[in-house]
Amino acid sequence: MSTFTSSIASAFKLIRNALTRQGVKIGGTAAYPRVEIHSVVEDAPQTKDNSVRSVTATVECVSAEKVADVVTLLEGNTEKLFADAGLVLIGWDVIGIVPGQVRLFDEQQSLDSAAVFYRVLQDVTIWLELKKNNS
Amino acid sequence: MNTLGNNIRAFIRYAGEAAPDPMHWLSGETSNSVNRTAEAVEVSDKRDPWARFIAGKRGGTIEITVYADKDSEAQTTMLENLAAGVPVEFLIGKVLADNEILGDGGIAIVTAVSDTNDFGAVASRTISLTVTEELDPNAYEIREEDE
Repeated sequence: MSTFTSSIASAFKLIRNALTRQGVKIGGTAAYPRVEIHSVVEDAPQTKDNSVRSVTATVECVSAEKVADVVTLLEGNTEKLFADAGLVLIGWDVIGIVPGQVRLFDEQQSLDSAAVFYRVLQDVTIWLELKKNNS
Repeated sequence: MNTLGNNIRAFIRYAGEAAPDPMHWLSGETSNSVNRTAEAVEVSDKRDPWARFIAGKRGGTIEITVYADKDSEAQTTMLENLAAGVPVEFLIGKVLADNEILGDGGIAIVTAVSDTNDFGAVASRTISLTVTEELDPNAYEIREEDE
Protein backbone atom coordinates (compact mmCIF):
# COMPACT_ATOMS: atom_id res chain seq x y z
CA MET A 1 0.00 0.00 0.00
CA SER A 2 2.55 2.59 1.07
CA THR A 3 6.08 2.29 -0.15
CA PHE A 4 9.01 3.46 1.91
CA THR A 5 11.78 5.67 0.58
CA SER A 6 14.53 6.72 2.95
CA SER A 7 15.32 10.42 3.07
CA ILE A 8 18.66 9.99 4.79
CA ALA A 9 20.95 10.46 1.78
CA SER A 10 18.95 13.49 0.63
CA ALA A 11 19.02 14.97 4.11
CA PHE A 12 22.79 14.49 4.35
CA LYS A 13 23.26 16.18 1.00
CA LEU A 14 20.99 19.04 2.04
CA ILE A 15 22.97 19.70 5.20
CA ARG A 16 26.34 19.39 3.48
CA ASN A 17 25.29 21.83 0.75
CA ALA A 18 23.91 24.23 3.34
CA LEU A 19 27.14 24.24 5.35
CA THR A 20 29.45 24.58 2.36
CA ARG A 21 30.96 28.05 2.03
CA GLN A 22 34.22 29.66 1.13
CA GLY A 23 37.04 29.31 3.62
CA VAL A 24 35.41 26.56 5.67
CA LYS A 25 36.70 23.00 5.67
CA ILE A 26 34.07 20.30 5.99
CA GLY A 27 34.72 16.65 6.83
CA GLY A 28 36.15 14.36 9.47
CA THR A 29 39.66 14.38 8.01
CA ALA A 30 40.04 18.07 7.15
CA ALA A 31 42.54 20.22 9.05
CA TYR A 32 41.47 22.25 12.09
CA PRO A 33 39.42 24.33 12.51
CA ARG A 34 36.75 22.38 10.66
CA VAL A 35 33.07 21.50 10.46
CA GLU A 36 31.90 17.89 10.61
CA ILE A 37 28.50 16.36 10.05
CA HIS A 38 28.67 14.30 13.20
CA SER A 39 25.56 12.20 12.62
CA VAL A 40 22.31 12.14 10.66
CA VAL A 41 19.40 10.21 12.16
CA GLU A 42 16.11 9.59 10.38
CA ASP A 43 13.20 8.81 12.69
CA ALA A 44 10.48 6.35 11.85
CA PRO A 45 7.99 7.78 9.31
CA GLN A 46 5.66 10.27 10.98
CA THR A 47 2.57 9.48 8.90
CA LYS A 48 0.78 6.34 7.77
CA ASP A 49 1.50 7.11 4.14
CA ASN A 50 5.24 7.40 4.99
CA SER A 51 5.29 10.87 3.44
CA VAL A 52 6.59 12.97 6.33
CA ARG A 53 10.04 12.46 7.89
CA SER A 54 11.93 14.00 10.71
CA VAL A 55 15.70 13.90 10.36
CA THR A 56 17.96 15.12 13.15
CA ALA A 57 21.55 15.98 12.30
CA THR A 58 24.32 16.87 14.68
CA VAL A 59 26.81 19.31 13.24
CA GLU A 60 30.18 19.64 14.95
CA CYS A 61 32.70 22.50 14.85
CA VAL A 62 36.21 21.67 16.06
CA SER A 63 39.24 23.85 16.71
CA ALA A 64 42.60 22.84 18.11
CA GLU A 65 43.41 26.43 19.04
CA LYS A 66 40.70 28.63 20.44
CA VAL A 67 37.08 28.69 21.40
CA ALA A 68 36.45 31.76 19.22
CA ASP A 69 37.09 29.62 16.11
CA VAL A 70 34.29 27.20 16.92
CA VAL A 71 31.88 29.95 17.87
CA THR A 72 32.55 31.72 14.56
CA LEU A 73 31.99 28.45 12.66
CA LEU A 74 28.80 27.81 14.66
CA GLU A 75 27.45 31.26 13.83
CA GLY A 76 28.23 30.74 10.15
CA ASN A 77 26.52 27.33 10.17
CA THR A 78 23.46 28.77 11.90
CA GLU A 79 23.19 31.58 9.38
CA LYS A 80 23.36 29.11 6.47
CA LEU A 81 21.02 26.48 7.95
CA PHE A 82 18.32 28.91 8.99
CA ALA A 83 18.60 31.25 6.01
CA ASP A 84 15.39 33.12 5.16
CA ALA A 85 15.40 31.74 1.64
CA GLY A 86 15.06 28.22 3.02
CA LEU A 87 16.60 25.00 1.76
CA VAL A 88 15.65 23.20 -1.44
CA LEU A 89 15.91 19.51 -2.24
CA ILE A 90 15.06 17.31 -5.22
CA GLY A 91 12.33 14.75 -4.51
CA TRP A 92 11.43 16.15 -1.10
CA ASP A 93 9.75 19.32 0.11
CA VAL A 94 11.48 20.90 3.09
CA ILE A 95 8.66 21.63 5.54
CA GLY A 96 10.98 23.33 7.98
CA ILE A 97 14.19 23.24 9.92
CA VAL A 98 14.15 23.56 13.70
CA PRO A 99 17.12 24.45 15.90
CA GLY A 100 17.97 22.06 18.72
CA GLN A 101 20.52 21.91 21.51
CA VAL A 102 23.98 23.47 21.20
CA ARG A 103 26.76 22.08 23.45
CA LEU A 104 30.34 23.30 23.94
CA PHE A 105 33.13 20.96 25.09
CA ASP A 106 36.81 21.36 25.70
CA GLU A 107 38.87 18.19 25.66
CA GLN A 108 42.48 17.33 26.22
CA GLN A 109 44.07 16.36 22.88
CA SER A 110 46.07 13.51 24.44
CA LEU A 111 47.07 12.27 27.87
CA ASP A 112 50.63 13.58 27.68
CA SER A 113 49.70 17.05 26.41
CA ALA A 114 48.02 20.09 27.90
CA ALA A 115 46.70 21.09 24.43
CA VAL A 116 42.92 21.28 24.14
CA PHE A 117 40.32 20.69 21.42
CA TYR A 118 37.33 23.01 21.43
CA ARG A 119 34.18 21.41 20.08
CA VAL A 120 30.63 22.64 19.59
CA LEU A 121 27.84 20.17 18.80
CA GLN A 122 24.67 21.61 17.31
CA ASP A 123 21.46 19.64 16.69
CA VAL A 124 19.09 20.55 13.89
CA THR A 125 15.85 18.79 13.00
CA ILE A 126 14.71 18.89 9.41
CA TRP A 127 11.13 18.04 8.50
CA LEU A 128 10.76 16.63 4.99
CA GLU A 129 7.76 15.63 2.91
CA LEU A 130 7.96 13.32 -0.06
CA LYS A 131 6.82 15.18 -3.17
CA LYS A 132 3.53 13.61 -4.14
CA ASN A 133 0.46 13.51 -6.31
CA ASN A 134 -2.15 15.04 -4.07
CA SER A 135 -4.84 13.12 -2.26
CA MET B 1 -4.63 -11.81 13.99
CA ASN B 2 -3.76 -8.35 15.26
CA THR B 3 -3.09 -5.49 12.91
CA LEU B 4 -0.68 -2.57 12.98
CA GLY B 5 -2.46 0.77 13.30
CA ASN B 6 -0.36 1.97 10.36
CA ASN B 7 -2.54 -0.07 8.05
CA ILE B 8 -5.94 1.06 9.35
CA ARG B 9 -6.42 4.32 7.53
CA ALA B 10 -9.14 6.84 6.85
CA PHE B 11 -10.74 6.78 3.44
CA ILE B 12 -13.33 9.47 2.70
CA ARG B 13 -15.66 10.55 -0.04
CA TYR B 14 -17.88 13.59 -0.50
CA ALA B 15 -21.45 12.40 0.05
CA GLY B 16 -23.51 15.42 -1.02
CA GLU B 17 -26.20 15.61 -3.65
CA ALA B 18 -23.73 16.24 -6.44
CA ALA B 19 -22.05 13.37 -8.24
CA PRO B 20 -19.81 11.58 -5.75
CA ASP B 21 -16.07 12.07 -5.94
CA PRO B 22 -13.67 9.19 -6.05
CA MET B 23 -12.60 8.34 -2.55
CA HIS B 24 -9.31 9.50 -1.14
CA TRP B 25 -6.98 8.36 1.57
CA LEU B 26 -6.62 11.30 3.92
CA SER B 27 -3.06 12.40 3.26
CA GLY B 28 -0.57 12.81 6.09
CA GLU B 29 -2.64 10.75 8.52
CA THR B 30 -1.00 10.08 11.87
CA SER B 31 -3.82 8.43 13.81
CA ASN B 32 -7.51 7.70 13.95
CA SER B 33 -9.94 6.42 16.52
CA VAL B 34 -13.36 4.83 16.19
CA ASN B 35 -15.71 5.11 19.16
CA ARG B 36 -18.86 2.99 19.17
CA THR B 37 -21.49 4.04 21.67
CA ALA B 38 -24.86 3.03 23.08
CA GLU B 39 -26.82 5.25 25.43
CA ALA B 40 -27.71 3.74 28.78
CA VAL B 41 -31.40 4.44 29.46
CA GLU B 42 -32.32 4.13 33.09
CA VAL B 43 -35.43 2.06 33.78
CA SER B 44 -34.98 1.61 37.52
CA ASP B 45 -37.82 0.57 39.69
CA LYS B 46 -37.86 2.95 42.68
CA ARG B 47 -38.45 0.06 45.11
CA ASP B 48 -35.36 -1.76 43.85
CA PRO B 49 -31.99 -0.67 45.38
CA TRP B 50 -30.07 -1.31 42.13
CA ALA B 51 -30.14 1.01 39.11
CA ARG B 52 -31.24 -0.75 35.94
CA PHE B 53 -30.60 0.20 32.35
CA ILE B 54 -31.57 -0.79 28.88
CA ALA B 55 -29.56 -0.02 25.76
CA GLY B 56 -30.66 3.22 24.11
CA LYS B 57 -29.61 4.81 20.83
CA ARG B 58 -26.48 3.44 19.26
CA GLY B 59 -24.04 5.74 17.56
CA GLY B 60 -20.44 6.45 16.87
CA THR B 61 -17.80 9.12 16.57
CA ILE B 62 -14.59 9.12 14.56
CA GLU B 63 -11.49 11.21 15.16
CA ILE B 64 -8.76 11.44 12.57
CA THR B 65 -5.50 13.33 13.07
CA VAL B 66 -3.51 14.43 10.05
CA TYR B 67 -0.71 16.86 9.28
CA ALA B 68 -2.49 19.93 7.93
CA ASP B 69 -1.84 20.15 4.20
CA LYS B 70 -3.22 23.04 2.19
CA ASP B 71 -2.79 21.03 -1.04
CA SER B 72 -4.76 17.99 0.15
CA GLU B 73 -8.04 17.60 -1.70
CA ALA B 74 -9.42 15.23 0.93
CA GLN B 75 -8.69 17.65 3.77
CA THR B 76 -10.19 20.54 1.83
CA THR B 77 -13.32 18.44 1.24
CA MET B 78 -13.64 17.95 5.00
CA LEU B 79 -13.42 21.70 5.60
CA GLU B 80 -15.97 22.40 2.86
CA ASN B 81 -18.34 19.75 4.15
CA LEU B 82 -18.12 21.17 7.66
CA ALA B 83 -19.02 24.63 6.36
CA ALA B 84 -21.78 23.35 4.10
CA GLY B 85 -23.20 20.82 6.56
CA VAL B 86 -22.84 18.07 3.98
CA PRO B 87 -22.14 14.51 5.15
CA VAL B 88 -19.18 12.41 4.08
CA GLU B 89 -18.94 8.76 3.26
CA PHE B 90 -16.08 7.18 5.17
CA LEU B 91 -14.15 4.01 5.75
CA ILE B 92 -11.74 3.49 8.63
CA GLY B 93 -9.90 0.36 7.68
CA LYS B 94 -8.10 -1.19 4.79
CA VAL B 95 -8.98 -2.46 1.38
CA LEU B 96 -7.78 -6.00 0.76
CA ALA B 97 -7.31 -7.74 -2.56
CA ASP B 98 -10.48 -7.98 -4.67
CA ASN B 99 -11.76 -4.77 -3.00
CA GLU B 100 -12.70 -6.68 0.12
CA ILE B 101 -13.01 -4.28 3.06
CA LEU B 102 -11.74 -4.71 6.58
CA GLY B 103 -12.95 -1.97 8.91
CA ASP B 104 -15.89 0.30 9.60
CA GLY B 105 -17.69 2.40 7.06
CA GLY B 106 -20.73 4.62 6.95
CA ILE B 107 -22.09 8.12 6.57
CA ALA B 108 -21.08 10.84 8.98
CA ILE B 109 -21.35 14.57 9.45
CA VAL B 110 -18.21 16.59 10.05
CA THR B 111 -18.60 18.11 13.51
CA ALA B 112 -15.16 19.65 14.02
CA VAL B 113 -11.91 20.41 12.24
CA SER B 114 -9.34 21.60 14.78
CA ASP B 115 -5.87 22.80 13.85
CA THR B 116 -2.94 22.73 16.24
CA ASN B 117 0.26 24.63 15.52
CA ASP B 118 2.96 23.76 18.04
CA PHE B 119 6.45 25.23 18.05
CA GLY B 120 8.94 22.91 16.39
CA ALA B 121 6.28 20.48 15.16
CA VAL B 122 4.41 20.06 11.89
CA ALA B 123 1.01 21.78 12.05
CA SER B 124 -1.63 19.13 12.65
CA ARG B 125 -5.38 18.89 12.19
CA THR B 126 -7.97 16.76 13.96
CA ILE B 127 -11.17 15.97 12.08
CA SER B 128 -14.16 14.82 14.13
CA LEU B 129 -17.03 12.94 12.56
CA THR B 130 -20.34 11.89 14.06
CA VAL B 131 -21.80 8.80 12.47
CA THR B 132 -25.42 9.12 11.35
CA GLU B 133 -26.15 5.50 10.52
CA GLU B 134 -24.93 2.10 11.58
CA LEU B 135 -21.20 1.47 11.40
CA ASP B 136 -20.83 -1.24 8.84
CA PRO B 137 -17.96 -2.22 6.55
CA ASN B 138 -20.45 -3.21 3.89
CA ALA B 139 -21.88 0.31 3.88
CA TYR B 140 -18.79 1.37 1.99
CA GLU B 141 -18.76 0.36 -1.62
CA ILE B 142 -15.52 0.48 -3.59
CA ARG B 143 -16.07 1.92 -7.03
CA GLU B 144 -14.08 1.59 -10.20
CA GLU B 145 -12.74 5.13 -10.14
CA ASP B 146 -11.49 4.98 -6.53
CA GLU B 147 -7.79 5.22 -5.87
